Amino acid sequence: MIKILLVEDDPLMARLYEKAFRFSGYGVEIVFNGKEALKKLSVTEQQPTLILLDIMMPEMNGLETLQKLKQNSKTRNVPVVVLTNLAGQEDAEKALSLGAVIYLIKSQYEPKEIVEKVKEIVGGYAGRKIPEVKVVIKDTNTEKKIKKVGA
Amino acid sequence: MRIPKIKRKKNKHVHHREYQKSASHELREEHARLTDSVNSLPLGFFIIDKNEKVSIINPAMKRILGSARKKWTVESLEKRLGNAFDFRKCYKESIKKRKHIEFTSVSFGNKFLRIRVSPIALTHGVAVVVDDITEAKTFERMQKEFFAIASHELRTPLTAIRGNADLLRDYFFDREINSKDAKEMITDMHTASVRMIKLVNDFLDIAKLEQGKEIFKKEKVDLVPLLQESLRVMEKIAEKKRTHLVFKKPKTHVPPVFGDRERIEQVVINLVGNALKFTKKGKVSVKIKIQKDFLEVFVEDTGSGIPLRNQKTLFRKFQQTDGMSLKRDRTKSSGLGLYISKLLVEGMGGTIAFVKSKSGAGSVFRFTLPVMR
Repeated sequence: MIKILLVEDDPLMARLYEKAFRFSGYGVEIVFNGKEALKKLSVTEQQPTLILLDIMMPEMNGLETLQKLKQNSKTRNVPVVVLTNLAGQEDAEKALSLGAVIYLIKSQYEPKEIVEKVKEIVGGYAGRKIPEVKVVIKDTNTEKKIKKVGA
Repeated sequence: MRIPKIKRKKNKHVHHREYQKSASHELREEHARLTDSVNSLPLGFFIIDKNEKVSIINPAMKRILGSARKKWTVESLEKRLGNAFDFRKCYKESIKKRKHIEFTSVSFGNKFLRIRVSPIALTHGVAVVVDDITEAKTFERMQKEFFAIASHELRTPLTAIRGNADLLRDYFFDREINSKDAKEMITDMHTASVRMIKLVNDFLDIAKLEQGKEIFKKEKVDLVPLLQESLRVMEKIAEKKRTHLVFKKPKTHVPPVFGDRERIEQVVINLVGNALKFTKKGKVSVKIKIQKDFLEVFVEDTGSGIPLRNQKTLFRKFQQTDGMSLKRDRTKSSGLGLYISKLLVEGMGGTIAFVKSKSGAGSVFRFTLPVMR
């Protein structure tokens, strides 16, 4: 079973995405901030298939967490999808430069669409064929290519 | 009649010397007036002459440079400005091309400066005007940050409402959702919509208050029954947190205050609500102190306390902390309540302040309202 680690402090958001992935047959674990995520990943033997990472969180925000994940040899290769409602270009570019695979704005996607994007990424990594991933920040229903990232 | 020669010569010399004296005096006075005017400018100002010497530098410029040094040279200016600004290159270009050069935002230490360099045709030097725009820049950055956070806060409950509706639409009719999940989703949609409404109301409140468009009722308000009623409203929340709510009623008569009853209640509920949010199995107490012209209301809790780094920014919108906003704990509070309470209390002629806090031992807030005479 594909296991997702969801790093999200807002219980409303955590419950929503937990259900979205569970209804599609994924296993989901939730932690409520970056510190908890790092702690959990340091003790677990088997790393998650993918990490869904919020940005605005107490204790340790998503960008700091992402940086630490990529610095750690244990977690460096776990793909990270940033899932946030912060729609600033600067935040998106920072996340990508720190190693996120894609930066998604929650309010612009149905939960099913987020599941599809994760499926695409996981499929690519599993088949050792890394897909070319676009970062998409929709701006008033117009797609803007912020950056093309080949993993 | 012949005029004696000697007498005429003597008068001419005297007249010339007196003229020189008077002209010199006038020049000195003019110079003093100009120097005085330059020194009283709130903007930084200095002149580099054609010999690359700093002929004038005013006190405002010295304050911007952060140095009380009396005499400045081009070298000492360059050293002080460091990497912030290629000063020599700039003024040489201005003289050579005989044009004004402006830098709208130069970062110098913890300041932001606007620098304008203008050639002085007559003397082949440059006049440099420097404006400290740090406050304006900080305000601009805070507005930008506020907008980013506000957008984020509005999008989140909307995402919960839409997202849960999407899942119900996609899965419910095929009976792929059990009733427990369905119940949770419907509850979450309701919670999100309540949160959304509160946020929108807060934003509208802030907009009205900041623009001075809020009209406060001016009525006689007895604080004792108002506080008692407000605490009664908060009882259920206190029970859930296993926290005691206590009102220490003064023994002497409490004079009424002058204010808007509804808005005073809003402030009390905000302060008590915050105290309860940060307290588990403890106590929240409210008391009144009577002063000559005003009443003080204290709200004290035995909760987790407020970290030192957050104490200075408590009454700002979203309690922005200059870059710390990505670490806001939104599940505890929207971050607007204290700011709104501040606008309300000050709008009614009172004051509001954070009194003290100790980590793990709680916090004390205080607001005042003018007594009705």
